[in-house]
Amino acid sequence: MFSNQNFLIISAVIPSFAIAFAGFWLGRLDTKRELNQKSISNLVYYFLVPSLIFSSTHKRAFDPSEFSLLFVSAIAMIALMVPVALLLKRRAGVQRNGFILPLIFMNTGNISLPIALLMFGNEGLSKSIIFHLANIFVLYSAGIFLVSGQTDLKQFLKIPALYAMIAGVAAATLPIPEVLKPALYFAGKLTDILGYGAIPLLIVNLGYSMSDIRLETLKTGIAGGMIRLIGGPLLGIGLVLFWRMIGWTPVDPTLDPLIWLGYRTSEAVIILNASMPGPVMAYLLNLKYDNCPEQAAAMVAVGTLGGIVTIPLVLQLISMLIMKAS
Amino acid sequence: MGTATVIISSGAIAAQFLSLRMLVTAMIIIVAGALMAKWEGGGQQSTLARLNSQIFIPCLIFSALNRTPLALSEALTMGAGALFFSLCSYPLAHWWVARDPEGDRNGFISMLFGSTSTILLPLAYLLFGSQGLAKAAFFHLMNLFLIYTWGRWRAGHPTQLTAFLKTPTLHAVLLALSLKLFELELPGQLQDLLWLVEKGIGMMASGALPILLISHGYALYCLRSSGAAWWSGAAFLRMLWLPLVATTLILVLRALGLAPLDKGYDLMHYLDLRTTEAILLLAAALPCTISAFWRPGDSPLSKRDSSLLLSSALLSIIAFGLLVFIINRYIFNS
Amino acid sequence: MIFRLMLLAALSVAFLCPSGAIAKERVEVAMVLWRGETEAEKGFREKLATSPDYEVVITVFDAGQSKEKLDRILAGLDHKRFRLAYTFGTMVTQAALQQTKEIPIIFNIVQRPVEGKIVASMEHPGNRATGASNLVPMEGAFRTLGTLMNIRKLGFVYSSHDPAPRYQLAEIKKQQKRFGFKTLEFPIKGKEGIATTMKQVIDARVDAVIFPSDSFVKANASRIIGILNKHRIPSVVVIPEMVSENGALISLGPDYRTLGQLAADNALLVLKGNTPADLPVRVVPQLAISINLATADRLGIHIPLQLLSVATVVR
Repeated sequence: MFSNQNFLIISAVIPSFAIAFAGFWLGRLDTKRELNQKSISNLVYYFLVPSLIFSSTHKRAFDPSEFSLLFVSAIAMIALMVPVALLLKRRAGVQRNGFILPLIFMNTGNISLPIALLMFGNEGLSKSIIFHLANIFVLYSAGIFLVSGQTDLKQFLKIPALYAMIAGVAAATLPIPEVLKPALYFAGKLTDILGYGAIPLLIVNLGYSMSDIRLETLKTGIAGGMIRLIGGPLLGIGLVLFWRMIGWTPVDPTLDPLIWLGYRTSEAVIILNASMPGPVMAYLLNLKYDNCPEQAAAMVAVGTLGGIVTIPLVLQLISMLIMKAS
Repeated sequence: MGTATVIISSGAIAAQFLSLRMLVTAMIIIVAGALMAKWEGGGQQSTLARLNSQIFIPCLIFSALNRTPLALSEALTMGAGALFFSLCSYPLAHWWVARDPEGDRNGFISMLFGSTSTILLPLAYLLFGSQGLAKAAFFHLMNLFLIYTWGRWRAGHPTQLTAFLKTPTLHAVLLALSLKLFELELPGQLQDLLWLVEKGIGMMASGALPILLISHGYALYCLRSSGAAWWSGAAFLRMLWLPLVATTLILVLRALGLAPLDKGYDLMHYLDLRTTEAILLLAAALPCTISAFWRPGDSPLSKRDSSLLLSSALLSIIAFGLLVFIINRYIFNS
Repeated sequence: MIFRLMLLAALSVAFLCPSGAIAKERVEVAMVLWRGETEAEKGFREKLATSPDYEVVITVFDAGQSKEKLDRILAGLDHKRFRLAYTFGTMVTQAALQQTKEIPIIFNIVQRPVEGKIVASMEHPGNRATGASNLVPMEGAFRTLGTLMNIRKLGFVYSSHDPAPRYQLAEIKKQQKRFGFKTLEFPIKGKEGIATTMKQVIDARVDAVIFPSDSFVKANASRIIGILNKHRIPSVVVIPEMVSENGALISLGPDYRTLGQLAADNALLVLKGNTPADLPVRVVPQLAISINLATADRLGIHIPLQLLSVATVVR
């Protein structure tokens, strides 16, 4: 029916979209909108995602080179999309900066994390989390500045994920006094359990938020959504080629196969995340500051729906160009 | 492997420590739920209840039943156990409701049934794995059925059998059992596709664990903020009574030969029987059911009943600690 | 009076000649090992030490995982000096049978003695070798694993040079339908092939990896299992030391010490004059479970209490 490789791609993509569809269906059934998305977002933002981050980082040896590669790649991807987004904004005749938010930022949480896990294993998930961290840090700093015109470092410092990452990296790298080891062990177990809830709830929330989008409003988001879906992976591939050129992700065939795999997984995660549609959080920020919310909603919706087609294609590309030995 | 010292010991000793750790972890997650309710000012209980009942619990139960072979006798034992617990709780419930100054009969539901969805299911999985969860699923299903029928009738409300038949939990159980019964053997990639669906459901099932515990904590905060008192004598009596009921049931099962103590050569069968007993004891420690769905319309719970629920939730911490110790010491190492 | 004198004499003998002083027959046993002493050898020694009839002196010959050294050891084995030879593992036993002529062989930790052409059958070995087999009842193993994790894709990692693992693979494949999984094979071609094979395992997205009783895998276990642990892939082994020494998640196999004791039972029977051909190969009916809690924590796997209660844990 399908080749093994194609089947692997399908098996990585289907669960996420199926769960998102479950959330969508829940939204359709919930005609009175009793489900409070803010509650769910709070739960995910304050408890579940920080737990996932700590759980993932504290057990893994911290590699500064890998961390910087992924972190810098995320920031580079955002930066590279800015001129493209500004160009579209000018052509669309839009004055407000909120328009570019869903273009320059990626949905590195809801869709990317489960696909990274299913496609590239736990290593892929851990790397994707680093990419996601960078994305949300910039979203909650520069992103807020773009939509509100205000800089508020205090908001940035209030991001729970930031402290989860610091704590996780510290636990993985610093020598832990014997007296603190039981507490760390315990915290690890606690965050393991809490972290389980992050991915399913992120995806359900995504589906739910898509459920009240009207098809006629999607028209305004087609151009932006498609630019995100097509431009993103192209820029991602370009970025990866650049890293190879400067030697940050060597392709030397004599490398130890597992080290080679590590580099290729990092590249795969960069391209995968680059190909993601705009994040729902971008739309929520646009809504909060009343800065192009309808266009943002449309772009996120078009991107998410279009992702059903483009993401498997990108994964196929990754399998052929990246994961196979050069 | 490094230079860390390797300590080899009996698993039975490790089990005591690990089960205590798991209980404390569960408690912290419940407290996190209460904190979340505090920050939000409560009021979103229905959001969590809806997520749990429509998505997470069905996925959790399906995932457990799909993985674990369960004999019909085991399912019947758990169902009968749930019924037995409710019947034995009836005198206490009757006494509780008879003393209600406003004649409110909702206390029947609180006293007769435990919080199987938000506490039993996650704890059964965390302590006893999918084997324990599969058994707890049947206990929960019977509990649900009794709430929708007998419980509502005793509380003076119309029964909701149709609503029970529509619950996603029941559908998940039936689907899992059907798949097991017919033992579909699909060719090549179709089988892989089926396993893929199972994997997706498994992801949701893992997500259920923290969310169920958080929603329990959320509900506890809502109870407290509605003015419920910390102490209720009836909750204390219930906490003492139910473990006795469970112990009696276990002894009866052993006496009838349904749960023999002979290890024999089939260790897994022996452990399976002991796990059944463990789940029954664990269910005896459950606090009064905190589910909001059985309350008709938007009528608030009386302060008296709210105090009962809150107090039983707190007392269950002690009950769980003691009973898990007993399970490790006297059930698994009998 | 005569009766009293006889009683007095008997009591005197009992007090002055304690049982330990009754002369035991001194026998020498050659212990031919592949990778040093294990718990199996400890069990073997313990049981022999309790014999009231024999004072067994064991001389250890460790091949140090070298085939050449093993051949030299077997060639130089003095048949007149040693009453019997204890051998560890399939390869050593097969070599001992080929290269020695008369000396009775007591083997241990041989999973498939019949398929390995060491014995004719488990009940009647039919030649000069008998002992204890670490055969793992796979049905019991998978029932145990089912309580721990959901396995749909199982990786089987083994050394391509060792013929023994394919028998275990066949046993595993028999359980596929019942437990609903499929097995993917990953042979390792020598030490240089470890990284390549492990990359294939990781790429295959298996739910768990199982290792047979394989000396090569054991010798390189720290590296192999370290890679699996890093990628959070559970490892299932049949050699308990791989849990305590190399960080494998769980071992499901017979207890080595018990196996050593069973082998010693057969050894004592041979010393008493029984022929190995008539002494059934012994097996341990129940699995011994050993779990590494640190690995379980790292992999995010919850160990059910019921399993812990019957397991040995390593921290």
